[in-house]
This record gives sequence, C-alpha cells and structure tokens, in this order.
Amino acid sequence: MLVESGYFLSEESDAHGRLRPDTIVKNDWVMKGYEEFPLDVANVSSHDLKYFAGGFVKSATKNQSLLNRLVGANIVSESSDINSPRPFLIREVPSRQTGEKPTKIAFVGLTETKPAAPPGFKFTDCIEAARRSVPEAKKSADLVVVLAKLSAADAARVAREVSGIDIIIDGNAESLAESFTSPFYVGQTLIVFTPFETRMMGELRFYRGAQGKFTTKQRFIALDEALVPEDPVAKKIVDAATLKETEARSQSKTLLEDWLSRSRARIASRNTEPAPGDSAGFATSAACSKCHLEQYVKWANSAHAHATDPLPPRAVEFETGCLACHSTGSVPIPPSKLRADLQAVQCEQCHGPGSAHVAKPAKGYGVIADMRKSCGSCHTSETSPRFDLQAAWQAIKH
Amino acid sequence: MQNFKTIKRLKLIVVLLIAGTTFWAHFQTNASTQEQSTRLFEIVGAMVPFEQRVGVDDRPSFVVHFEGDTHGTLEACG
Repeated sequence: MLVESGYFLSEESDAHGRLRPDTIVKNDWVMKGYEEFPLDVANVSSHDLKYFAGGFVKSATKNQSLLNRLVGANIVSESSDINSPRPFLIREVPSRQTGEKPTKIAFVGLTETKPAAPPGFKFTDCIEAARRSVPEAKKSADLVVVLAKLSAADAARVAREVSGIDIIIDGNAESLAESFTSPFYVGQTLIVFTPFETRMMGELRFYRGAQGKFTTKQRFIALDEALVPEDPVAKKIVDAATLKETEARSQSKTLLEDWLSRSRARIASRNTEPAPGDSAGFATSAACSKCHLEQYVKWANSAHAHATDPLPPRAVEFETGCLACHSTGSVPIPPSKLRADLQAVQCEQCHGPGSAHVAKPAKGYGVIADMRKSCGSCHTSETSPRFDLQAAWQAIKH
Repeated sequence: MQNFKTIKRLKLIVVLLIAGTTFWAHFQTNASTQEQSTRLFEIVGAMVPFEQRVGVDDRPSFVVHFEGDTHGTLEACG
C-alpha cells in the first residue's frame, strides 16, 4: 500500500496569500496523478489544506474520491457548512502468508499548525488530537500508524506523550539540509521520516511474529532519473501537467496584457462614454479634476493612483478578480464583460460612476454612506492585514 | 589479618553491586523512555541498479510504501 505523510501539494500563492491560478492547475494534476497511481491514505498538512478547503464544503463535488482518503486529526472545521478531514482511516491489508488473517491498520493524520489555516478551519494541538484519536483508532485496528507533517522533535513528543502508537511516518524535512533523518524508537513507537521531496521512497516491511506481534524493516530507495526507467503513463501525466501549468501562466499574462491594452486605448481615445454593457458611465479622475483640483492632487499622490502598478510584475498570477480592487469600475466577471477598463483606483471607484454628475454637476453625488464598508470591500483582513481605517483616512483625507 | 582481607573483599563486592545496579537501572530508563537510534534500516542508493532496488523478497506479511513533501511536483527528484 502507498501512503502520504503530507505537503504533497504546491502552496505557491499570490500577493494576498491565495493560491495562484497556475498553482491550482498544478495541484489539479497531482490529483489526476493520484487517480492513476492510487494513494491509500494521505495526511493533509497545513500546506495542503488551502487547496482542499473548497472540497470540504458540504456541497462540493471536486476531488471527492481523494477527499475520502485524507486524514487530519488536528484539523477542525469552524463552520457547519464545511466538513473536516477524518481523524483516522482504517485500511485492511491481506497477508501474503497463507492462513494469516488480514491486518487492520489505522492511519491517524497530524499536521504542524503553520502556515495558518484557511478561513473556515482551525488547527488544534497535535498531542491533544492524538490523545483523542489514537485510542479510538486502536479499538478497531491491529496497528496504529500516525502520518505526520511535524518537526522530528514534535513527532518524538507525540510518541512520548501518546500511548498506543506503533509507528509514526513523519515528513519532518524543510530543506535539502535535512534530506534524511534516521529512524529511531521512542519507547515502543518507531518513528521513520519521509526523505525530503521523496528523493527516496520509504518502505516499511512488516513481519508477523509467532505471537502475532509485528516487527519491521525499513528501506529507503533512491528515485533518481538516471537509472529508474520512465513509466509511460506517469510521463504522459507529467508532460500534460507541465503543459497545462505553462498554459495557465500564459493565459494570466495574456488576460492582463489585453486588459492593459484596452485601458490604454480608452484613455488615449479620451473616451469617457460608458463602455459596452456599462450603463452607468465612468468619467475618470481627470474629469473630476476640472472642479475638484485640490482633491485630485491629493488622490494623484496617493497609493490609489498607482493601484494597477503591482499587477504587471506579477502577471503570471493575474486573474480577472484582481481588477475588482486594482482598477476602477471593473467587476470580477468573465473578461468579455469587464466594464470601465480604467487603470488605478480612481475617484469613481469609491464615489460611484460620475458621467451624469460631470454632465450636470449637482450636490448629492458621491456621498459615501458607510466608509468602513466601502473601504472594507477591498481592504480585507486577507488583502490588507495591517489596514487601519482611521490612519488610512488621515492619509487620503479630501 | 584474615578478617581484614574478608572485610575488604566484602566492601568491594558491595561497591560493585551498587555500581552494577545503578548502571542497569540507568540503562532500563533509557531503553523505555528515551529515543534510541536504530540501525535496522537499509538505504538503497542511486548507484544500485534499478532491478536490485526492489530488494530480496524475504516474505514480509505486507509492505507499506511512504512518500511526502513533494510540494506539488510530479517529476522525480533525486
């Protein structure tokens, strides 16, 4: 059987900590790989949860086959709409020896608690979670194996403080410097470590003794490309994954370039007419400046006037949703329906479309009823964790 | 003189007994509560021909293979 100790997905994130579009494609292909080469049990680490978070929503349908093979005893859902991974799973392994009964192995999952859990989840203490889950698992299994993504010290602590664990398979390495940690015992618990990046495949051979007690032998098998022949099915998946990931990056770049080009064309043509499908009409800050010069100068020297600038250097992670807060009058809908095509966060992003006001100036336009709500639509705890409304308002007061 | 030698021998036996008991107790504590390293593992390195990496079938009841920390990478890294 094949098991996974965790951190098997990419967590490459955008500037706001969300998985990038190409990262999602990359992880989707890892899932496809596991459909072809099935995993029996996988531990969800804190690094993997961001990708799976949506899948645990009760109405979700994506990746359900793999979700049923995930364990995570110290991952807890904070919402009634979201499931948690199971604390443990029991797998039955037929014995190769004639006459021997199958062995029931309980796999319990544990993860470190950093990075922080995505919204809707929290991580609890791994010792407490193990103390709850291991005795429960032990009731219905011959062996209890903990799959962990913990430091070696924490794995040893779990072994010391929680009785009943036969083996801990731990992915402890954080860099190539820790590429191999020798197995060791803590009391009766054997702790083995997944070599960094699976540069070696771990193997545990179980031998049943006369009294039904198991002994093990551990092997670590090098997986180098030079001597291990390419598997044609695996190669097909890897090639397709690489292509789709490259396409995702390229698509992000193209989307942004197209949008920048449209926005430049709009300014160049001095077209302040409503864009197709945009009945409201945006006039641009330049139009506002004709009557509100002082406010315009304040805006022009603010970060809002440069809100589009961070996008081109991070073009590979661009998605249309970025425009909701990095442009004016855009909404996160398919690109064909993007509206104002105006760069930067201009006056009308907060005050509303101003074409009618420019055509017929009158009091009453642009009042912001709830500044906390208006600013908070973009400055969320995720995108602006250090945002302070009062301090921000002092900086842009106009 | 004979008595003196006997007392000396007895003293030596007592000291050896105490030292032996202390050493045994210390060893037992280590064995039960502290981490012991184990040499019961085998590393099948990159120089070993592929056909030999699977190893000899020494009739285990079952085998569990484990992996992890691949960070979304599908390609072999070794």
